[in-house]
Amino acid sequence: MNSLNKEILSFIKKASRRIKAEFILNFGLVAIKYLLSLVLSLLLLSLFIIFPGVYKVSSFIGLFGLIAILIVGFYLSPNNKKVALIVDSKGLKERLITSLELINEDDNISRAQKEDTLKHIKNFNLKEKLKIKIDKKQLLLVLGVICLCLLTTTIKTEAAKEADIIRKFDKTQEDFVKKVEEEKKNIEKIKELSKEEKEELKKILEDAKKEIKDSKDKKELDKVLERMELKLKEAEKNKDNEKSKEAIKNTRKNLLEEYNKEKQENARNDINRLTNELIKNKAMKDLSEAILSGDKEKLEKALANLKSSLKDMSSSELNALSKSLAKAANSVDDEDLKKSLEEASKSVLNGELDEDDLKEAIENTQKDADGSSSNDNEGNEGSNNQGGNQGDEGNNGESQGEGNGNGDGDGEGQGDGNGNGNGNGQQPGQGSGGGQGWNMGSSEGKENDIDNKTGEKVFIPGRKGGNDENLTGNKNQNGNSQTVESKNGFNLDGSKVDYEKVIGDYTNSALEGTNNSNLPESLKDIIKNYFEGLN
Amino acid sequence: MTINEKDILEVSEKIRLCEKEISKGIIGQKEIIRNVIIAIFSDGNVLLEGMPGMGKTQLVKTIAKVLNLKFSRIQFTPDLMPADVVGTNIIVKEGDNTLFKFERGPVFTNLLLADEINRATPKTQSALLEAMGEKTVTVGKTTYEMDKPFMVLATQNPIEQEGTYPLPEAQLDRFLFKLYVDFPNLEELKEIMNITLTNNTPIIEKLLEGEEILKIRNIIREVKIADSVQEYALKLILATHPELDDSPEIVKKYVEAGASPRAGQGIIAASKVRAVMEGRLNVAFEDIQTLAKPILRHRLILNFDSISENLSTDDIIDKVIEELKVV
Repeated sequence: MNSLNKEILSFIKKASRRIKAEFILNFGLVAIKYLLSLVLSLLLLSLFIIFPGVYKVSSFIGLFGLIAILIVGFYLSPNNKKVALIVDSKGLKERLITSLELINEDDNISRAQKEDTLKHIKNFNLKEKLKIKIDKKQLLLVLGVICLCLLTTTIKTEAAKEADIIRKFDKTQEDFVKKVEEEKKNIEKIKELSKEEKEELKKILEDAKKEIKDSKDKKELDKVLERMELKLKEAEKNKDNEKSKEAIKNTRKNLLEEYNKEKQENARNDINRLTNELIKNKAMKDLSEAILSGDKEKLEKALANLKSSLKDMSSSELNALSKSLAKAANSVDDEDLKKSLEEASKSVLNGELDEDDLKEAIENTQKDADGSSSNDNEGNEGSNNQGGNQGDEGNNGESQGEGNGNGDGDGEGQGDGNGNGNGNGQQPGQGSGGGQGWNMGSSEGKENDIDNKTGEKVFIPGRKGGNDENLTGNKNQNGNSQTVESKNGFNLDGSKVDYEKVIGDYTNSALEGTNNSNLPESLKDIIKNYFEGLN
Repeated sequence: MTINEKDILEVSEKIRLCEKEISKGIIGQKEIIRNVIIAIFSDGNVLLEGMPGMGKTQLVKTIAKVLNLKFSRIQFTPDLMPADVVGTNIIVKEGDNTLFKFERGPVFTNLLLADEINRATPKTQSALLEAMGEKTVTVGKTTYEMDKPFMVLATQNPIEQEGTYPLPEAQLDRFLFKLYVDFPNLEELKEIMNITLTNNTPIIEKLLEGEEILKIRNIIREVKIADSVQEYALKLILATHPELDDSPEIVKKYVEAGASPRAGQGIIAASKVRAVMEGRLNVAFEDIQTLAKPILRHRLILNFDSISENLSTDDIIDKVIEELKVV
């Protein structure tokens, strides 16, 4: 290639860089505008329908779109011929394109033409004549669409809020699955644990992972985590070796400490925000103080007073009260508390108040804030009445009544904060009424193969038709809980039997047991409905 | 043929000097002079349309003088016969023999001024067809070659259409350019008065010979045209065809028939001359665009709608150029 051709091609290359840059920039702006419009329409859609994956989908569209824009931009960007034509249009009068076409020609006239071109391109200021200009109109449009997108993300409709909750839950779920996976790997590295112990722990974690994945909302997830914590504690308790215990404890802490702390922190924030909102309304000053004091009696009294004072309130006062409750509902994150406050906000307009519901929600949040629902405290263990708990554990349940009130989710928890075990007689509980059962066994109804000499614990499979209220013990009006002691527990003494058989036997025994017991009829109905729900 | 840059530059200079020399004899009308020169070097014929007394004949005379070419003038009238144009066989006696001898008509020249061409009958007009297109004249069974170079510069009056015969499309297509001779402005008129009514008649020099013109034509043919530029010229021709899907809306609406391939040949040949006159060794889009109107305006046949909306072919061509993207 002679020097003439080289110089011409080198000039075209230089011009090409600027022209391509400008093209890709402006093409990109137009393409991004459409891309953002698509994202905006998705974001707008997410305001009206629950679309938890909107950000993920939008990000994917954005990322994929940007890559596509770059690829298509490069593909569509002007080739040398077009570059030459563009440069020619800036005053070279088609000299460059002609020279480019004559690049392989070497006759006199072609050479003369190329020399003429070279003469002209030497005086051609590329930077001045080929300025990289951005289409300002498109740029403004893109910025406008970005602003609209950002604005849309700040709008919180019901659907958007719901989607936020689902997203948050999905994230937590995902984090826990990862954590569990990590811990499974860590377990392998713990020298203090024997192979069997490692397998046992891994099994617990594997089961928990499946349950975490299967959990459909935060409540379920909390229960799964609590159950996992219990199992780990159980495993820890069964170890003789201190080092093994410590290792399991560390695993448990690694998995749950942060989550429990966060939960506690959130609950504290909720309590603070709630009281800050409530104190603004005179009528709820006492209630606010009662919440802050953490005294259950005071809370009960404050709620009762509030309910009774509703009758004497004018409609404007009721309105103000309703608004305060609505604001309080908006200020808290806890779903149950929010719901209770929202319902209270609506019902006070009619001069009514479901103080039990509100009280329970507040107390639960308080418990979370106190960290009492966390099972780190060894003394709390008894509150989680396991299926195979012995009678003395029933006593523990009683002592825990005022604490976290966690009934065991394995079907034996019977509300009232004491855990109505399936075994150990009837004992008076503390009767706080705030206990929560977490009766959410695995939906697959897995057999529990924890090696427990006291007999295998039977985990009640998740009931499709049942719900947790069955186990909250709300129906117990006198504040006393009952523990039914039965020799006919449903422990299978470590043997494995067919799930259907277990359920069948269990149901029959439970129904028979309830018929022969002194349980109030209302409770009997709950138990009956519960077991019917299992089928 | 080995042509180098020097040849091209020499040609460019010669044409520039011719243009300057012709401008001495014709005041104003720069565009007309330039286009006529382009037509001469691209071997085309020119149809000049303008009012009487606009210097059309003077222009042809001046060109003939500068280029040192033979010049004939035929005043077309309704009774003009083809034989009056091309010539005829006459009986001559040579010694004892009596034979037919072809007496050449005024068409056998280098520059033919066909004055008021539309006043002759179509039959007579058609007598020029062969000469314009093939550069030959056939009388009886004999075909005679024209002198080279040969070109027809025809004139017609845009008014006084009574007793005229519009040129047939076939003949119009043989004119490379149709040029409108505009009325001179005040300054030009003053100069015309000074030159024609005083003894200051400018001396016109002969700058070229017929042979040299033919040589220049050959050199100009070597001027390069990029594919994209050539394609643009041909797209422009195609865009004048209403029957094609890609043609602009205005063409579909107002044009009845588009330009012929001869227009394509003409536009490229003429563009090459223009490029050389501009000192370039390649054709530019600008050459095509500038020459599009004189080349296409007489080749487009407009429909009644365009006449009713007072649209001219120039308006249509402007629109087509506007719509046809260069890059």
